Amino acid sequence: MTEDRFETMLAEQFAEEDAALRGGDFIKEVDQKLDRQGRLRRVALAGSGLLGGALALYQLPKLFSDVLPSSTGVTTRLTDPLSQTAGEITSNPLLLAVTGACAVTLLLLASLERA
Amino acid sequence: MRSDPDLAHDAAKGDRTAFTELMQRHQARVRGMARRLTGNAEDGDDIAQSAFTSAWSKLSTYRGGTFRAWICTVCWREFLQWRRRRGLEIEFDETAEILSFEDRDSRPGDKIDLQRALTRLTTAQRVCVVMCVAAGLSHQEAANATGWPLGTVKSHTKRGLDALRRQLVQDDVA
Repeated sequence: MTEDRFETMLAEQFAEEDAALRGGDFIKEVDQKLDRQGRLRRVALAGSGLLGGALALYQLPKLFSDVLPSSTGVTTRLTDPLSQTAGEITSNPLLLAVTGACAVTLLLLASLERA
Repeated sequence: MRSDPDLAHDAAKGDRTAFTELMQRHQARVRGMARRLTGNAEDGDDIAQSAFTSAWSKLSTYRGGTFRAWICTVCWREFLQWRRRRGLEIEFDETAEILSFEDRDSRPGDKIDLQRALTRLTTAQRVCVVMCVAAGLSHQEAANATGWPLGTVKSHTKRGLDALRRQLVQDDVA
């Protein structure tokens, strides 16, 4: 048997084996895996968004401190609990580490996952 | 029928239907490749699954050319990660001992038992035969995928084929 003929015969036999692999649940399983990843990505993105929104909200009074009278009413009610929470987190190294780890994980997940 | 690059282009924009079509077209080849590289069906299918999930997130890096070569390259990288997790290295020494793989898929019959025959090759030979003969990549595509020199891929493919042919003759005699 010539080299070329042998190679062709092998390729045909490989192709025959591959053809037997068509069908089954393989594609369904990959789809389910992608769905799970998609859900995780959405949660990560939403979490990152909320975190970013909270930080932005926390910074709002400082941003408008020059143009607005000293914070009262709605602004105070919104920012005071945030400031309180932020204060508690930063004063406790363990909470700070946990929050930091969560934020980094969320950011990594959000950046690694495809939009 | 839409071409692979067209489907890949749409899939890269998030079109899951296009990606499913690509999977339908290439899953058998990728699963076959992964099964032959690992030597068993379970690990092979796990690697093939990882290859497709990884492909979904990396589709934006596909820059045209044959999609077959691209997806096989992704599969090859998943295979390398799988080997690294097991602390295995690709052996280039032609005189190296033949690595034994678990032979769950061997089947008797009148044809050459390809899975068993492949396990008798050196790892590098098996990789080259699987990529260039079974998966249908060109030598150049296999060299690009593995990062090995073109000459190395050609020589390992040839030696692998020679070894398989010898085995076929032995099987016939037996």
